[in-house]
Amino acid sequence: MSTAIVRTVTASELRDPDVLAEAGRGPIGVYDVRRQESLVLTSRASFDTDQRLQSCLGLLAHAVVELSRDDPSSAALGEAGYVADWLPADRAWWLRHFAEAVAAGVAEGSTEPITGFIAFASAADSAVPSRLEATISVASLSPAMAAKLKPKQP
Amino acid sequence: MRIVRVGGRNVWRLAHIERTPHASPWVAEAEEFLLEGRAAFHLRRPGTTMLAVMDETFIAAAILYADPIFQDCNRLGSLAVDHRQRGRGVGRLLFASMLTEAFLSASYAVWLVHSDNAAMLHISRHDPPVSHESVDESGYAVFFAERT
Repeated sequence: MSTAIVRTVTASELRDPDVLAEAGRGPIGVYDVRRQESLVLTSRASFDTDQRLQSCLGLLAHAVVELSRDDPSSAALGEAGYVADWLPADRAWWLRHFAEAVAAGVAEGSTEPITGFIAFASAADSAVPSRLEATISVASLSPAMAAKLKPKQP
Repeated sequence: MRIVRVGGRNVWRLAHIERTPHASPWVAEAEEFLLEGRAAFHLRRPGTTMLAVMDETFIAAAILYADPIFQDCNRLGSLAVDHRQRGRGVGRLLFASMLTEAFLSASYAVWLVHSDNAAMLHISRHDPPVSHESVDESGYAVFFAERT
């Protein structure tokens, strides 16, 4: 598959419905909404007919817009709606990695990297098993080791 | 086999690591944490690294993050090897890479090993420069290593 940069737009320009519609047909890029980095639009060769991939590309474009708002709508994010409740820094993390997943999906001609990322990240709010966060007692350390390690401040 | 960093572009490959059939609870817990996304809780925090062993696709993965208790210390979190790939040195390769990664940003590394995990206990006691071994409240062996 060959792609070429058509032009770049900023995240804020994506608020224009015409630009958003264009982006929905094929944006690829890694960007940071908080720094207003450019979104790269590319021409498409082989994935024009893949509706599922097309849908993922549209989701990326909508996510760029929605997650730049102070109060993003989970409904607008569809299956990725869980991100709307995250802290801004976590939303930025999600968007950066989601863009990477979309780029990988386009490169592979598959939605698996994209849906796989959405599913993986959706479990981030689940409780971490307590035994995996096992508390290490300072009292159990040897005096030499206890002298070296400094506990974090509460 | 090669070590790769796990991120948005390839995290989907974690689903290719087959979970251990009829696994003990401690194995199932670690695999579920790593492979079904709970690890993303840590992954979205700065300083967290997830590495995987790639051999056509992912065959093992592990996570490293800042220890919640001690300063200047990284926790080598769960490490999962596809049960079909065990015995090839995959876990040892990944563990060594994790330890190297841990010492890039901290002076100490800590990891916990279940008392029934004979392979990991052996690796922990023979491969790295272990500074300390003890047993925590839940019965896991606790290993500390210091950057040299």
